[in-house]
Amino acid sequence: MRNKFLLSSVLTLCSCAQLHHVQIGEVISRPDYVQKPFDIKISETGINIGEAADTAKIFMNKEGQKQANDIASAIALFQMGPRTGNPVYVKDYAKNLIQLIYEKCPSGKVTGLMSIRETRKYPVVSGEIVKLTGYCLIKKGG
Amino acid sequence: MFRVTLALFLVFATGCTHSLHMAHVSDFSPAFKPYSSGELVKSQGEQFTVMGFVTETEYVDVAYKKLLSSCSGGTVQGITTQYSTSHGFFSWTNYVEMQGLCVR
Amino acid sequence: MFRSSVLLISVLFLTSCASINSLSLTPIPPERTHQVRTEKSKMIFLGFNFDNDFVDSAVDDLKTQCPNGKVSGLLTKDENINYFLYFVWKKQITATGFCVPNSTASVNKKKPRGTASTEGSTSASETEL
Repeated sequence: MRNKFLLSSVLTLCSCAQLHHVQIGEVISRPDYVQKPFDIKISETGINIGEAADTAKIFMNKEGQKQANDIASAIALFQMGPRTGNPVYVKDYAKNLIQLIYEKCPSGKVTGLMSIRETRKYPVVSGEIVKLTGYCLIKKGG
Repeated sequence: MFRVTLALFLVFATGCTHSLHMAHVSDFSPAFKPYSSGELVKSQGEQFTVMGFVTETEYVDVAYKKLLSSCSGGTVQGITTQYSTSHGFFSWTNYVEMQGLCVR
Repeated sequence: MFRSSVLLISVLFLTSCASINSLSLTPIPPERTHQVRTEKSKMIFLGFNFDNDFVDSAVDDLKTQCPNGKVSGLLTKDENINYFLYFVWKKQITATGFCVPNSTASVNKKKPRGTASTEGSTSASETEL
């Protein structure tokens, strides 16, 4: 029983990382500047309705399972369209990227920017992530 | 109790969903200006489609031209380009959003 | 009847569905007089595609259009255009930007007086910070 619980906990907590898009910009190194690394991570919860229905069916009788299927299919009709990762319920969760970069590097001397769009997938839910890493150039002795 | 939970779940689950496909951030060179010395400019292009039946992707160029015109005579640095989709009933809307710092 | 069928089949085959795969935009320069553009595409039948070399010549195309300058404000659009029942599709890359002549670029860099001209150079070490 304990082993089963342990196994199911591990399976539930394990996540798979899926990389959708990555891009690296210009990298500038100057002897009179030090590079201070920074990173920004914005995440929103994505939900897989199909998996939610499948999970719910475990606890249901036959009639309930059929209903869960019907509900999931009906919801899917209203959520048609191309997807990257799981759909989220917040539209502009990554809209303040530029402000966040300036918070990390107020001078605007940013280099080596790498933008990543990835998904951390768990059962039913996922983290829909936008990650940015870069360097802020700071003048030596400044 | 179960029915209330189910109802709440359905209300939540049937809401509008969105998918962010990519977020790209451009370089800050050659201007490298702080936020205070510029002006934040934004543009958006969108395209409604029924089951994906569209023959062009002009909305991207529309957003690009809007961004250009919102900063005439200036440099736009740190441009974020986001491409997303809002899902719907047998249809969806694609969005392209661009924003950057206009330095004159 | 025959004419209608031919028309219907032609419409079905010629109707396309376009969708974006990825987009990127580089910093936009203040000088936007000389626009450069390149478009590369490849038709793919039933997914049989063994290389993506069609993209490689895009940079050379832009370089040819801007031999003594820097291409900036470059919008790169990677799209798929699907034809009849997704049997055939076209991968298309479109890049649009502006050629900034080197003379203008060096003025923007605010070089100190007496610095020798380095036309054609866009090295990182020269970037104004």
